[in-house]
Amino acid sequence: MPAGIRLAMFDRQTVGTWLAHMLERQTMTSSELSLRISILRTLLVLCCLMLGACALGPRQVSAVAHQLPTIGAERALLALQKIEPKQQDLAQYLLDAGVLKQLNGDLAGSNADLQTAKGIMASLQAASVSENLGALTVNETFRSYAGSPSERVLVHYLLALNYLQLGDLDGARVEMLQADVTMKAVADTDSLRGQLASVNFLSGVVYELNDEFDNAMISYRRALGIMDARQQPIPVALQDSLLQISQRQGMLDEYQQYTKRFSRQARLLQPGDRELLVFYADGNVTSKQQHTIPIFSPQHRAYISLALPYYPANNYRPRPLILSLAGQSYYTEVIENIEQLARKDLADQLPVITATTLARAAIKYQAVRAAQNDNNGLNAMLLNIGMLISEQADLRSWNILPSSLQVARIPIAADVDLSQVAWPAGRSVVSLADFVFNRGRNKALVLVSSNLEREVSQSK
Amino acid sequence: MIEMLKRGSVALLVTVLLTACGTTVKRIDANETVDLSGAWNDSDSRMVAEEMIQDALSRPWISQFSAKSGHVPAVIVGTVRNLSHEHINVNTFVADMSRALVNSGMVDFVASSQERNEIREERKDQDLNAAENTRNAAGQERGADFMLKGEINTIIDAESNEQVRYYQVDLTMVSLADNRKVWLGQKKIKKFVKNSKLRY
Repeated sequence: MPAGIRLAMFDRQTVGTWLAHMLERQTMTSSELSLRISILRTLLVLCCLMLGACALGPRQVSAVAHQLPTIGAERALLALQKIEPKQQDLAQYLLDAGVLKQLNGDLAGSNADLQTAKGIMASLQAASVSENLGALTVNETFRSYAGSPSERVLVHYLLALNYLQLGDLDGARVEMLQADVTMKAVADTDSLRGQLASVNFLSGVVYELNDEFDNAMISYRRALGIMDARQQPIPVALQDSLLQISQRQGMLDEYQQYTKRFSRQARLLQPGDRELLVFYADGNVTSKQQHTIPIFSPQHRAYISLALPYYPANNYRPRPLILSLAGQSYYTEVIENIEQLARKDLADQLPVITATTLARAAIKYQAVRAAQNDNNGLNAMLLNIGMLISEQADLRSWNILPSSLQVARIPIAADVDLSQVAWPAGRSVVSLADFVFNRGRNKALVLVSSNLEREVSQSK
Repeated sequence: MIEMLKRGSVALLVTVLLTACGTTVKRIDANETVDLSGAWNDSDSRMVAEEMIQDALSRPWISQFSAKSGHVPAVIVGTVRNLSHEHINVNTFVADMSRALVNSGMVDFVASSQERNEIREERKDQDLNAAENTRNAAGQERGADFMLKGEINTIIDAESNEQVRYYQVDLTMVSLADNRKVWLGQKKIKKFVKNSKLRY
């Protein structure tokens, strides 16, 4: 029998010997031994109760995420800052704080939090012996939060947008290079795990702004490949990117393929025209919930209950950002559905989570049975309660994230006065001026916006 | 005796455990190389600066310019772009290089465009507030003869928990008179990084 299971069963003789050694005694009477085992078990129950409280932090964070659309980013950040995260939940906390700071316009603060979270997640890729043992015997929250593959890639997306808004194009480029390394690290030959069209699209834009059109083309092609594999409609912004760059680079065969597929030619800018690149975030992703499943164990001839995470049904419908420019309306389109990604990530992880939960349930069941066999009903009952309370699903996720990421590429003719444009609330032409990058004879404007940000500024 | 040994062992164990929990600080030499994550660090920055300084001072562009113009060349630091996979502070090795080149007496450095604005503001302030014999007049700035530009590039090859990180730093000295590249410096750094698959 493995050592972990033996320990969990609290073998009477082993514990007695250990206690005797600890108390520097060679022998111990039966009544003393029973008393000490009782104390130990009571301590275990207390530990289980305290461990049950470990999930309190993540639940508080989930509550903040749930309230975000109604209370706004400013109050949500204040609420989040009142929570003291445990060390193993720190990455999740910082990811959420990073997004809230971004929504509040504190881009430097957002970068600091997201960079720290990124570093923590990278350092947690090695398997932890103690955390795995804790997860196997108590519950899944014993593991430090290391983020799902998609979350590990998305953090680069948000950081790159921050750097773009700060006018640091090189910083954004660094994040896109890192995202590429991360996507390769989490890639799976049989699935699209951690492969994000949105990140590849943003990479393409960043390369384009750097006049690296070959690299931009590679990124746009990857974005197209991912969306095709997921059978998602291709947003016009990505279509335009593929058409424009393939034509610009003289890739005529490829350009012809795109013109045929998208039924149009490249939309080229005239001298003096500007192009508005819109990165819009809509909604707030659903948080995980717990459900308990009773399963009959033939081996133990008893029902054991499994606590597993799940995403509740959600009828999210992406809402676009509508911009009116020179009498024409433009819409953003979905390039990444985070709601679906989060569910897919959980579905991928669920077999391992379920196997661990089953093994843990068996260990806990054995511990309770051992207590019952000692004819100590009170201990067995307390242990049973402790085990039930400590059995909690890991509900942690990056839950302050948009439900969908949307993009648009909007040409603005040279004669359009930017000060006359109705920008989304919370954004103005003045703040946009900071994001202007020289691109030959044309200028690219970058607009980063979120419906949460808009709703907050509208409510002010 | 056995009792004493037992008590001593327990005390020692407790001491070791408590010691392991505390923060420790050890001062080390600034030139000592300590690689923790495999990312770009102070040692890489120092190695690049040393290599570049040695190379820049040993090439004929300085002596050729001095012989022709009769004065040491004035250099301005342009953009050193970070095109790598990491957020690298390029100012550290550029500052090291500038200091070594100025201290050699063979090159003058003039203030960068950002620094100049601050200095011009100060000069304007002197016009209003400083005593006449201590004022510095506008229009007397030394124009640069060369501009130092460059970039850092990386190639990362990763598989499982192993990584090869290749850094290439390229610096170029460009003549402002005729756009000639009078000096090209290059430093390559390659690291093999292996991360543990297990942690405590």
